[in-house]
Amino acid sequence: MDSRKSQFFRYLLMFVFSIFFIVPFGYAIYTSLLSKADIGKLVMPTQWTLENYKDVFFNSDLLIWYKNSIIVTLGILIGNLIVNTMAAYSLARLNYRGRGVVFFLVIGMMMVPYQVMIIPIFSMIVDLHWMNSYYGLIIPFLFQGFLVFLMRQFFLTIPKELEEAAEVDGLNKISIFFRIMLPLSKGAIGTQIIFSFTGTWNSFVWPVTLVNDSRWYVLTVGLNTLKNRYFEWPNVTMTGVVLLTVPIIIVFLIFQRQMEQGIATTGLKG
Amino acid sequence: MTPKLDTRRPMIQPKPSLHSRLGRLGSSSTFVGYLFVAPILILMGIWFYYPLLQSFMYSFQDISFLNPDAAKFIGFSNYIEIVKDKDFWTALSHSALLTVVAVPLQALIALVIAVNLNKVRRLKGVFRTLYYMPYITSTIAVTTVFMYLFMQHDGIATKALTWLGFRDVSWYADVKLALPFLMILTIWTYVGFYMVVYLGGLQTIPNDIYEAGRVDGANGWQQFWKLTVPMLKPVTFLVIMSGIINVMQLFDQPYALARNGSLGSPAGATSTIVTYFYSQAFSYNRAGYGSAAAFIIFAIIIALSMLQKRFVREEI
Repeated sequence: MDSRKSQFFRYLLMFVFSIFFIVPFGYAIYTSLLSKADIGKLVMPTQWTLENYKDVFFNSDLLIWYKNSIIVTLGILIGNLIVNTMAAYSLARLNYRGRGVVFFLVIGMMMVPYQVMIIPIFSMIVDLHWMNSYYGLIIPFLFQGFLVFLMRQFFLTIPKELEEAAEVDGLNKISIFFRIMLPLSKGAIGTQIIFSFTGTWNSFVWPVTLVNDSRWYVLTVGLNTLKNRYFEWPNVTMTGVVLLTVPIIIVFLIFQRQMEQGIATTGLKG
Repeated sequence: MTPKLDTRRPMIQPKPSLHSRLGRLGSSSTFVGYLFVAPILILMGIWFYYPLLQSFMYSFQDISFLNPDAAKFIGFSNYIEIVKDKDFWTALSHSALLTVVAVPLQALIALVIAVNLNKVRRLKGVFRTLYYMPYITSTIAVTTVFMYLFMQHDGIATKALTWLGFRDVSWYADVKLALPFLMILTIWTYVGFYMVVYLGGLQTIPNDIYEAGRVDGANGWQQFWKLTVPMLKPVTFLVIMSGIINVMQLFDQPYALARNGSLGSPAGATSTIVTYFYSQAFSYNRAGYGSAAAFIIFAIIIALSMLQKRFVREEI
């Protein structure tokens, strides 16, 4: 295969490239551990402190923002799993009049940028008095065309014979969904979880538009205001950055394998 | 003649139990089909297609969030005003410039890294995860970190770049350097994601092609250009198209770096078509004008994907 020399150069390239990724993450973690007096200096681990974390946690609204982010993300995630997976099964495996139209309507959503919807949805949320509420942050986002498409593509790969055998055994369409299809789609559901989770956890433009009361901020919006207010104190803002990023990295590491398979199947077959 | 009694059929049919009736409905493709798409149809209708139509109507009206009842139909006036607005063209030129520079550059870097990472024997997973992390990190968090890295005098990146001959300024606040700052930020965010996409593509290339290439005496460089790059063409199209759409949608980063200033700060240097749209709609409360801008963005995206379809058909 590769000669010793070319292996060496490949590793060299990987390590050099890594620097660009380690520095920003490293900077954030390191700075979050500095006391006010040490900002901008290189100091020993013995001088590091968790003061900033205590400060941000207890003297800002961060705990509330965390709670809001978790509720909104879980609400949207669970809703998406139910709505998208059911629709995908119907579109992949059941025959009925109008299925083509429904499929077209679902796929069509992938083409339209959110800018087109955000103005009327903002008005609707205001009219419903859903500004600054979980309803406004969750209910408009319970479905996603792309994830329906992803799930449908997955269901199409499950052999028809399985369903036929199940029908002979007396299972109807609903039981087939719960007892055959769902147990086989753990990987695809993992992919949905990670897409939906990261998308919602990191989303910014919707929550910044649909909320104007700081008690209803989600973490991204909260961090943005924290940054604007304490820009002179990188130790404080970097603490916010770390606290915002850690959950997503944990979720990512748990579901990483499914995620990559998901990219491969949607990216290359779609 | 004695009346014949039909013994084949029982006189009274037993009433089917609720359970078996449900069971029968459950075997109907049509019933279960509609039942399972019902939730998304309802949600989509209310939160997607209704707003879509509404927005389309708004785009032909003079309508403000502050007083929606005073809406007036004004035909194409919003669209005409946008096309005549110098700020719109500035924003569009920024989006176009970002696309032309950042998208090919990130595709090229992603490809080079993927090809090399694919051949690395150990630590493959570690590198891949590290490069991928920016893509799943919040754009607000990333922008915040990069602002410190590119800060005047103290920023690590600013220091390194001053050494290479760049001016010692806060990049995000400099009229000339804010857009390059945005490009660096974009490339850094997406390059790992596209690298993973390329890695997936590399798995689909059969090994015998390289064997054959080696027999014909192709060296590593020739193999890369004559075999790998052509074989990955469909993946490259995907990477370029998705890259263009991502860059066209750039919004969070300029929003975050403007801090308390107006969107597009400094002095409009980081305005994009989306920040243009957003400030018209939500800073100036012009719902109608904003809707027209949204449909122009929509049209640009449709035009780009039609272009892609043509290219793909020609190339493959």
